[in-house]
Amino acid sequence: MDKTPLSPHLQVYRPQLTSVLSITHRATGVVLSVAGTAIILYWLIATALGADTYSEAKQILGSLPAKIVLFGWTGAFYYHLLNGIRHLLWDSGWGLDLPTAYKTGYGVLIFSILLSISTWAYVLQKAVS
Amino acid sequence: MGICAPKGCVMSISFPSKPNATNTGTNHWWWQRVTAICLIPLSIWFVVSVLGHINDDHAAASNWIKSIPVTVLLLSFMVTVFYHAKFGLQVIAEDYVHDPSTLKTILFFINASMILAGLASVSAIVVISFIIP
Repeated sequence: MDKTPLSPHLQVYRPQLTSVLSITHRATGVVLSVAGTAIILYWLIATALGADTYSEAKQILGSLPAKIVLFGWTGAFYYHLLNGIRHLLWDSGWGLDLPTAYKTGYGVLIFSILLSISTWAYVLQKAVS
Repeated sequence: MGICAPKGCVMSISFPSKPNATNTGTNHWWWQRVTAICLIPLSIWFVVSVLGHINDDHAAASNWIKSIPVTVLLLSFMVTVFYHAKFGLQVIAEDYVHDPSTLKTILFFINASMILAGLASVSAIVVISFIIP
């Protein structure tokens, strides 16, 4: 077991785009599972229990602080989704060279911001209409 | 040297007591990818359409969940996502927790919480779709 390779020690590893994106993939994965599980279960169980618990949950999840948390969660989601696709492409052998890895890395960052903003633009516009 | 050491390819750190349980390492790696690919369409559908129902009242939300395609998609998403999360959290724990008994405890909690979360979400969907009016 002590012979298995270790991940880079983050404290002594000089941060660079590739390594920061890599650890962010894991961090967003943890955020998505912990916060996502809590929110999904709360929403589903409140709906299953009936109209009263549902409207209570709707009030809490629809409040401004909760919307800000949900927006942040959406950002983590799009980041993990796009960077996950980048990982799958690497698994297939595509895009492993450094220039491409940097280009796709910046692409993941830019598109996760754009997709989060457009998703919430759609959600808020739908809520108004 | 290949892409990973031969032994590392076939051994999972989760089962240090069973060194002959070959293939579990590649199995985890493989299922992580299978669930990832399934989640590309499923998760986009889930996030966009659930957020789109943020303003629904109880009748509208439960009617939406009751429609058969939505029930099926929600159930598929829940099973796939909690399976994916279990593998992801497990890999992180295996990388950063070096004490075997602590690791065992953490893996127990990861597995237990993901199984419970999966069961709770599936039960809630079944209740909404088939039991409540």
